[in-house]
Parts: sequence; C-alpha cells; structure tokens
Amino acid sequence: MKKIFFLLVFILNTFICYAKDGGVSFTQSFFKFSPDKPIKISSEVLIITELKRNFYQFDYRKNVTATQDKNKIYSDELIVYYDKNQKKINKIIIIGNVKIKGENAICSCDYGKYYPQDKKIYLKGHIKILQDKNLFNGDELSIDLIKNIATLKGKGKRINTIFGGGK
Amino acid sequence: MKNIYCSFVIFFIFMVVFISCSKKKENKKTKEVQKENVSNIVIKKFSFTNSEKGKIKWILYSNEAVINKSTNIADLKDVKILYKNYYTILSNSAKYYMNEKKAYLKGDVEIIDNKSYIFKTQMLNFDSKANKVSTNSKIKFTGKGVYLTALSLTGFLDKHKFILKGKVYSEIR
Repeated sequence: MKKIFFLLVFILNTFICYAKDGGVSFTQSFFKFSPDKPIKISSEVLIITELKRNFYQFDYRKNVTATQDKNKIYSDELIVYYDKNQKKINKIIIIGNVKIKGENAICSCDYGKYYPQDKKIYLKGHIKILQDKNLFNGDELSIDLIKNIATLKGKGKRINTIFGGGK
Repeated sequence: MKNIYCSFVIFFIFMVVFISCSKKKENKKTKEVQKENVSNIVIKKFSFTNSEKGKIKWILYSNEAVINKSTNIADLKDVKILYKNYYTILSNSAKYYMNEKKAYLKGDVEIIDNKSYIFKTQMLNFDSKANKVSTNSKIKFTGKGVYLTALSLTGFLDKHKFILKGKVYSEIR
C-alpha cells in the first residue's frame, strides 16, 4: 500500500514538474483561450437570461462549438456568464462530452469551468489529455494560466501517464 | 274568365309581397354596410395603456390607428410598445387584437432591452397576457460586446428570458 502511495506521489510530482517546466507544458500550448479575444460559439439552442441587471447568462445547448483562434471546444452544453457593463466574460461552464482541441493537444472530460479574468481552468471527470504522443489520464485537472501550473488528480485511482504512447 | 281573373290577382299579390321583401333585404344590407363604415375609427397619435394591479404593465403607442369596432381589431402604423419601462418594442406596423390583447408586429421589428441590447427581426407576435413574444423569422441580436443570429425566438419578458433556436451563431467579446 505504501509503495503504491509513493508511486502515486512520484508520478504526480513528475507531472506537476513537467507542467511547470514550460518547455512542453500543455498549459502553454494547449489552453490558449484569451479573455481579450472574441469567442465564436455556435449551437442549436441558446437561452439568454438576464440574471440581474446587466448580468447575463448565455446557455448554449445541443452540438455546441466554441472557437477562439485555433482552439476549439465541443460539448453538449456551454454556459457563458457575461457582465454587460464591463464587457467581460466572468465564467464559462462546459457540460457533457467535453472535447478541447488545442494546437497540438486534445483533451476530453465530462465537465469544465473557465475563469477568463483569473485565467484559471478546472476540468472534471474522465480526463484524457493527449499531447505530443503523451497521454494523461485523471479525474480532476486545475490549470493556472498565470503561474503556468497544471495539477492533475485521480480520485481514488492512480494517475496514468503514458509518455510517447499516444497515437 | 273568373278563374283567369283570380289567378291574375293572386299572382299580382304574390309579386307585390316578393318585391317588398327583396327591398327590405336590400335596405338591411345597405344599413349593414353603413354600420361597417361607421365602426371604423381612425385615431392619430393613438396610445393604449394596460395596467395590472394598479401598475402600468405596458403602453402601446402608434402614429395612426384604424380601429374596427365590430371586430375589435386595430391596424396600427409606426408602433412602439413600452413593456414595464424595461423593454421597448418597435415596428413599422401591427395588427392589435383588443379582446385577446395580442399584437402581430410587422416590418423592422426591434426589441430593445434596457436601452442597449437589440433583437432585430421582421415579424413578431406579442401576447401580453402571457408576457410572451415569439417569431419564426430570422433573428439578429446586437449590443455591447455580443452579436448573434438564430432562426427563431421565444421570449418571456417578465422572466427576462429569451430562447433562440436553429443555427445559433454568436460572437462574444
């Protein structure tokens, strides 16, 4: 049991360092969503609700595609919380069959949150990240785009990392 | 000879009755037509206020209204609906069904939300009882930092909720 724990800690540390080092860090090359650039979103249904004065919720449903430059997000549902006065997106929530395509990486998971102002991303559930033939598996991923730190956790499971094993 | 005379008299009476009846019918018809003409009322700078529990819910303004009193339908030109002082709905023309409190707006329809976001379309149904607007015409939404298009719209004005369907495309800055 101890051996497994140490192995888990070692793998986790390796992964965090790998992300921190920056050279091949997927935080740099993978998530390049910028709060300053426009996001193009298409879907079959959109529900706009003014939650409070000047604060809107844009709830996109069915075959959602969000695009910013070369980055794309595919999901069943995508919710944008928008502050009209400040002309800023406060939060984006992505739900169901989430796929994020970057320049040289693909990520899939069940659920995601993105805070453009804080430049933080949280992904949850069956996370698979494929980048440069390296495959990362886990259950929770948090990325700080300012500090350029990515932390992948496995809930009660081992974190699987295959370097050079992805297709 | 008597028989011939009798039958002639009967025929004459019948003809008189028939002609008088048909004349009455004609008179009735002309009276109805006159009534119809009388029942169309033209009002310049028309406005209609709808209140709920003592509070103004919406006000309908029109540059010219032709109201048919027999049908209670008003044909409106240059329409503006002010809903709870929050949404402004504009159109070139509209048919307002006074009994149902429903309006069918046509031509350059705009729903202006809080004086900034604008929905633009060519046709819009306004159901004031249900506080609902809807259209199956193409929709454009513009305003501060947001642009979007869709093929249909259903809006619940009291809930500040709008559902857009069909090829939704948007750009958020």
